[in-house]
Amino acid sequence: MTKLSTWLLAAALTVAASAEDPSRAEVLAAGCHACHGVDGQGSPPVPALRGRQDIQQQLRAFKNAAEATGEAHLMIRFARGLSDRDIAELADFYARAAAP
Amino acid sequence: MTDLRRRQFLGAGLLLPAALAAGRQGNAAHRVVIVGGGFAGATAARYLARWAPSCRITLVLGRGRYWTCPFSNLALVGERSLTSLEVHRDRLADGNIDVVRLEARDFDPDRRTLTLEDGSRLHFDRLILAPGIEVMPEAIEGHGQASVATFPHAWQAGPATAHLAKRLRAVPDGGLVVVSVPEGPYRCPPGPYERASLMAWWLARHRPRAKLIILDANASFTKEALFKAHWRHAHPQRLTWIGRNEDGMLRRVDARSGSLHTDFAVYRPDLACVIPPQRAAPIARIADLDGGRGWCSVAANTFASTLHPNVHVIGDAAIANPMPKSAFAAASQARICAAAIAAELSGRQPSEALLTNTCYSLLTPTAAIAVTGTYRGTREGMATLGGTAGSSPLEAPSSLREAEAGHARGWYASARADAFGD
Repeated sequence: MTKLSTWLLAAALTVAASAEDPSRAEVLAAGCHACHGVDGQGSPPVPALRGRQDIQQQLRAFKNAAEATGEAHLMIRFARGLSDRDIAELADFYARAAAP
Repeated sequence: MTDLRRRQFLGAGLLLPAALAAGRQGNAAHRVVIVGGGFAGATAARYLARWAPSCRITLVLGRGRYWTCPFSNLALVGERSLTSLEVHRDRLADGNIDVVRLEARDFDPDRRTLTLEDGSRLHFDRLILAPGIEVMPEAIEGHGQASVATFPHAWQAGPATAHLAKRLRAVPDGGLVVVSVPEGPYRCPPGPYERASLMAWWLARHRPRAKLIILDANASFTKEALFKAHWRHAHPQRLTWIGRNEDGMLRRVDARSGSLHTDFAVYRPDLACVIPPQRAAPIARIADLDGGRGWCSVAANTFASTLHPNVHVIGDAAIANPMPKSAFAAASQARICAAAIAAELSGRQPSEALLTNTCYSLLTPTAAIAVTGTYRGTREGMATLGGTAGSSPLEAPSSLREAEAGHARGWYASARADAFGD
């Protein structure tokens, strides 16, 4: 199979999947939107997530925090529940989403 | 015909013959019927519409109006209007969601039909039940529906909230308020303690010599250390908590005298807010869905009933321990249920389920505390992920409590818009 046809097949599968099935990142991100606004557009004072390029860095910092305390105690605890893959997928999802 | 009436007509038009005809169209006409339009049902409908766009979704809302329970304790103390808590759910009739304004009466898991109050039937491939709770005053000796006005609970927000607010304003200075907490599980575990905190805040300002007693059928409660530290600091002479082990269990009420009876004491308060024991709403106890336990057992990765796999139960009616019965948890379960149904209807295995909960509780209208947890739902059950469960720090400056009250407002607006588009 040529590279192009492999790519086309992969693209077709992706389209087929997205037509009837949410992506893993979409389901994960929906959890964030409980507080961060519809589609991550923000819900003041809770900040927007869409269009942000620093999500991976922020989530890693939360996950690596020694203690769940201070104003970010909830985010520190949420981040502890995310795997490295979860964090990478969420970061990619928000980086691609148009900023509000 | 208005858009709304047309949609109601379309929804009601999903009667059996039409539904059977639609079934011949194959995958494109999978039918999902959702009963209940609170945080669980509405969130499920909107996410399913997005994630399974070829599904035909019918949302059975019933005839009633709807006010959110979250933030209704603020309405009790005049810090938020009841009007601001009312959700206009007609906006849910959008895209491929048909809204039916009739009560659901019965369902048959084998024939896969839901019967409405007018006798018409809706056919479903999947049924999602999100009916919430039934409050059972009759479970307390001497109590019943007829004496709820005497011992108001307002555990389902709305006109009852306004009634309880009026009763609070009628408490004289030097008077007594009692809040009675039922044995768990019940809707909104920290709700009674938030309510007591806000009532005490109101009494301190308007009836400074009045007292508040919490009679608790439980020996311990969520965010206990945080609530108790606040009460010691803000209401040392005003608020007393009496736990189950200290004679806090309400045994009997007397509607004529308005008295509350424990094993060893009798209280004659000016206001007795008696929160009754609860169970899943009646529709979720049909076909033995609750196994006689009052709440429905579900698979924690799909929220499919363990007894009837085509019937899903989400929100307060489901057993999702260690997730509490909260609006936040209900919406989280709704998204996971919608994702699982979208996957299964397109022939895929549902992916792993990550669920979250956060319960904010207001200590005053401008200070809040929170408890949170993240959970992994699998077919075997629900498990809390290590390091994710915990509450606000016990020692904290007032600025942190104020910031959390801001986060609570942000969550409320976000969760409400996400669930209802309103």
